[in-house]
Amino acid sequence: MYRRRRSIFDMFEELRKQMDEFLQESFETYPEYPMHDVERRELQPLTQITETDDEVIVVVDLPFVSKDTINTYATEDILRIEASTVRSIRIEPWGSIRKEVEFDKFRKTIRLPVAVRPKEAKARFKNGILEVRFPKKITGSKIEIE
Amino acid sequence: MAETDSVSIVEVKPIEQRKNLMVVGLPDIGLVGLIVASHIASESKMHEVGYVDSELLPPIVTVHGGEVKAPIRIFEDKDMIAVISEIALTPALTIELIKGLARWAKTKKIQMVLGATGIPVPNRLEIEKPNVLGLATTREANRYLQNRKVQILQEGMLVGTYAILVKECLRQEIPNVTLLAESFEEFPDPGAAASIVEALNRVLDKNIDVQSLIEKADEIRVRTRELMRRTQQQMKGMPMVQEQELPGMYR
Repeated sequence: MYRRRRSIFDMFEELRKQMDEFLQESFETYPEYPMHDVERRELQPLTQITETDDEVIVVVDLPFVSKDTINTYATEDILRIEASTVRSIRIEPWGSIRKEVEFDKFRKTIRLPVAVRPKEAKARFKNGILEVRFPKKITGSKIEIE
Repeated sequence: MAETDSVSIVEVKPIEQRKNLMVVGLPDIGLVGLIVASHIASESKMHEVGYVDSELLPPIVTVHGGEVKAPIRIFEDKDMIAVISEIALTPALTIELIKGLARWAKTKKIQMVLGATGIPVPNRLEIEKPNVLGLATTREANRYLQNRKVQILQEGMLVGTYAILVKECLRQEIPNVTLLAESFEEFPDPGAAASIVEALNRVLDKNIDVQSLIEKADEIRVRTRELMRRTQQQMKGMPMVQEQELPGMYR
């Protein structure tokens, strides 16, 4: 049986893809930066992304938020969420330097795992949880089975 | 003081023997167990009486009210003990910590160990009031739970921190009850914790306020985001999806 020998370029390409996946997972799924910006009064919400065969489902935890303050924007690759809280969230004491800080918005840009059709997305908001469902953008050709 | 090779339970004030219950609050699915234990300790006005020491702990101390505190602490009232962790635990620390706690509970002749955790369900958003299931390590305890209107887990798997607790309690021959509530997997879930506290009130004939937990739900969700994120990182290595799989063929 003929087996194509892998060239050095194939191996470098495979290594590059593995590094890209590792970096994407490390920095976008579990970033090592704080989940807040004190100067901008912003919090980064917790998010959960799951995939089915047909959909990408993004769920976002947005306590202290009401539906009418949520803005969402999506392309084929990203979902951006901004939401204002119904009241300022005061946290005191805060760390070793400040006595108290206040936050009044959530903001996050989420990279989606596969390309989606943003115009067909459906969203709902219940009990402080936002769920956005995107149909996947599936391209390709049907394969006939002999 | 009780020890394994890597974990010491340090009693700052002597803890009496024969307490009725030890509630274990470690970060896990939905932070449910941690929220339950913290709420019980707060509502029961428990006093801090000890802490856990280990070389496996990360280099962290916390400061509360100007006092240096260990990240895993022990609280008591006249008939209960609560063990509460403020940090996410590595798998290695989880195993050694739970072994140490089970051995310590045995030496202290604690009557029962309680765990509480979430069962991740994909339709949690549709659920207004999460259902609670119970799992006990003795038939008598299972019957007791049923008599107190707690549905028993008949088939399935428990994976992770509280599975280790059940195993170590079996090893030390200490009765263990685990209460499981439908929950979010990756978000703090005070709603699931409230369902468990309600069930616990029936089981223990107590009157721990549930409404105050529900009122604090949004604040808990904000304050525990970072801990939930770190807990997610540690849970990544555990096959939590097995809890949702069909049970095995052979009984």
